[in-house]
Amino acid sequence: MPPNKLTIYNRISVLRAERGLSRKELADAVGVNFQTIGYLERGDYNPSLELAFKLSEYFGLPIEIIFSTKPLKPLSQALFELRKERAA
Amino acid sequence: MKNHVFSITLSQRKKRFLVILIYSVLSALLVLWLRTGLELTDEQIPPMEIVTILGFLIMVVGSVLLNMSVQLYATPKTDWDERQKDLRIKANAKSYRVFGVSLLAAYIFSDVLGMGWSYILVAFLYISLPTAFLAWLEPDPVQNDAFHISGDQEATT
Repeated sequence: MPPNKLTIYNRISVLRAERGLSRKELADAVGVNFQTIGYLERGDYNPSLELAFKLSEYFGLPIEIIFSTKPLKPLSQALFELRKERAA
Repeated sequence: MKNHVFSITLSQRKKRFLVILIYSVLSALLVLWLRTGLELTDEQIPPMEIVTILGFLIMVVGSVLLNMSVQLYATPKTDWDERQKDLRIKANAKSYRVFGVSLLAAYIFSDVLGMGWSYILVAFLYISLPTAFLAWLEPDPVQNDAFHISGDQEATT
């Protein structure tokens, strides 16, 4: 039997909303259909490495900030914890 | 530019219902004709014809609706992205498997049981299966609204 499909969590919807982009605008920028962006946001589709890098380049963020195999914390919480770590 | 002029948006559940409806009607007609087709009395022929015509109408209308609702067909083939190409490959792979089995079944029905018309059904399956699998596999469509966040994975996890 094939192994269960790996769930890849992402922050695309948050980053898109933060930049005030529609799905179509983001899709055009990375060269995919806007439905694909929606499916990525919903977790219905896992991106190829190429698409993941394109999104990473577009948002100007490291790939591990956008995608993770573990559930992602809200960005504000992640930032707060990082600051706390640095202060300690 | 779209592949077809008219397209409709249906949820995955509705598309799956259409797929089940089309193949259920096809199976029902098959069973009906296999059981009584060659031994019909004069009184039985008109109701059978009406049922068959109705069944075909349901299948034709259902197939047209299904074809119009498949999102992949709303994008020209040359503009398909990685997900769309992947979906097409998956649908074809699944339909070829079913088609292979149905071809074998048609051979048995035709050469062993003498039902030559079974190949017509195989032709119907060959045409309809890829679209049926596409409709079955496609997730619910998403809207291109400006800033709506659906399925926000940060919020849900």
